[in-house]
Amino acid sequence: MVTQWGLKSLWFHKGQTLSSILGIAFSFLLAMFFAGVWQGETEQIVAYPQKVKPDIWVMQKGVSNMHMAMSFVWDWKADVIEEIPGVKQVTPFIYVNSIIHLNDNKMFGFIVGLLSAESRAGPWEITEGRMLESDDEVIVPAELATIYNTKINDLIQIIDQKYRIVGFSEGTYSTANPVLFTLKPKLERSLGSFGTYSYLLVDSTPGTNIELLLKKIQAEVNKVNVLSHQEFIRNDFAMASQMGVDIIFIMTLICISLATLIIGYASYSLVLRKQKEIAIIKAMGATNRRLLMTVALQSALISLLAYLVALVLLYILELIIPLVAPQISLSLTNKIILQPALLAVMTAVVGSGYPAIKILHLDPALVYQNG
Amino acid sequence: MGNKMKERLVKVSNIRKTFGSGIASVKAVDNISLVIERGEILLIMGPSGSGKTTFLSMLGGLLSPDSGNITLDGVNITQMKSTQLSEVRAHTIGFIFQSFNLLEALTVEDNILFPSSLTKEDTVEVNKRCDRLLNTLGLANRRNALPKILSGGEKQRTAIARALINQPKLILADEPTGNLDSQSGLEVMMLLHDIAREQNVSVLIVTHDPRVEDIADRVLWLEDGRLIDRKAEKHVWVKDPVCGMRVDEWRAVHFVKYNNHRYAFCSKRCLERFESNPEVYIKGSDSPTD
Repeated sequence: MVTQWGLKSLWFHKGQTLSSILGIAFSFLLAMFFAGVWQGETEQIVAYPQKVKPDIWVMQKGVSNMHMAMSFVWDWKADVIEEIPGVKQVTPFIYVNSIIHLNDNKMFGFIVGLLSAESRAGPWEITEGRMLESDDEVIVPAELATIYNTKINDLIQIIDQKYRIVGFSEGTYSTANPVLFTLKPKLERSLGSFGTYSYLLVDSTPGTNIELLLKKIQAEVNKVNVLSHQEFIRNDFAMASQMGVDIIFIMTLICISLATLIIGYASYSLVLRKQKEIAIIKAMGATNRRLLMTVALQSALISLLAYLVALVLLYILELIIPLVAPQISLSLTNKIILQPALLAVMTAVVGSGYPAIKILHLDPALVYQNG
Repeated sequence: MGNKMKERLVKVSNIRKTFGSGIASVKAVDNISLVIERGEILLIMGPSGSGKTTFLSMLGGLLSPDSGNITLDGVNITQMKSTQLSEVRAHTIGFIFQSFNLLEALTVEDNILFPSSLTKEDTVEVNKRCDRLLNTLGLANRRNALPKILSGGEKQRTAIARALINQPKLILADEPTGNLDSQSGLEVMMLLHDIAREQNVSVLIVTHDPRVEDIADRVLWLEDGRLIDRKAEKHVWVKDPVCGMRVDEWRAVHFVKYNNHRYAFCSKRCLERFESNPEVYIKGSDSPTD
């Protein structure tokens, strides 16, 4: 019955309970939203290497990923690798991350310089326009067309050179690094990186043991780093995630602190409002333990409902965002969704701490105070 | 009172309670000793700040005396831990308050059943008792109502039913008629009377309301932390000729002699008004009565 009283009291003060639930839900929503956006952004950052998906990546020694990295491999090494038994094909490309200028806008972009328009190094889905035909042409992510009102034949500046946009591609856009495709010669001239590639994509012949092939390449070619696709992706993802870890941690901390403060305030104000009733219940013979459990249950229930409301709002956002802000990639992993559930439990426990102290010290003789 | 009532339920021995310290200390209860028999209706009266609430809180196990002992149903409760006191309160004492103190989110039925949830009593038996109380106290049609829609009388009857649900041996009632109109107050008094007589429950009532004296077996006066047995003292009830309030001539502070007759007043204000024009007030005023 004490529990029933606790729950009915929440219902009795519906307005206050609802505002607490919404406040906490908003905090949880922010935490999940930021984490989801970062997760989505990170996934998009590694979208290019994910799509390329060779069996083996070869790059400059000391380099182990692509995001924000720079790699130089002598072009003759591609020929050496191509001769190794088990290698089906080697696809080299040059790659640079640089500021790009588009319609008076500056942004950061990753530029892939292909050896030919038919390269397996991308692009894959052209939504508008055509494939590359000359080295002063570029294919940009379709999202840039939406955001910056860009059209086919518009000019874009990469490093010190202008390129004409001939197509829009899908699947390799992220806010941090949209991937642009051009042909190698002009980009190579801008970089002055003659005779080198950035990465070599190695595909093996069917039935080849990738691990053995990887070791063989590493043994036969000097000063290169040879990684399986899985390891390369792992490294790239880790690097991309790491860049936002601190920000997301701080954002989560702020959101959860906010949620804890709200639940703490809600519980405390409920205890204050109900202190006469709590005194009555104590006077009638309820133990502190029973009352504390009720307050903890109230906090837990508010947190749980807030979490569920946050989930519903999050899924609504997931549906709306592609329509109103296509540049934002929201990715909701199990970890992102479940983490606030654990935090909700923690929030409920911490949030009910101070009200619990208030209950412990509440004098049951308060029942004799009128009013 | 029958022989059953001669059995002692509460024994209070030399309890004292002081609040504050040094020059600011106040003796709220000063060396009170008292015995309450089973089924006895004991009334404690006294001016505000006389220590009534402190005394009631100590009897109810809500406050510990600085010294002395309180024995309830043969058990000394003064040295008990808070969890043990909770047990005693849940099983032995029923509380009734001036401001009803119902739990606003619970229905009448749930309010009545609430104390039973703090004991391990069989639910079926408790529910039957609750039904009986609802019928006896005329609350059956209010079973599912929330306190906010009840009248003052209904609230106090609910509080009485709540106090009775665990079949306590002692009921502590603090100003039970204080927030009620005269008819509801009378009903509540008769209920408390019947409870004491029919169920052999001891009822201790703290009140300012002199009407409650009619049902009391014993009236004690508490002033400056000390108890005086009013039945043992001479006292005379008279009517204040100005405001018509009943005044205890024995304890009256404001009085005047006029035309060889002694008049008592409830306040200085009434005395002044009387002195300004006595003839207006003498007409229709009562003679002193016992």
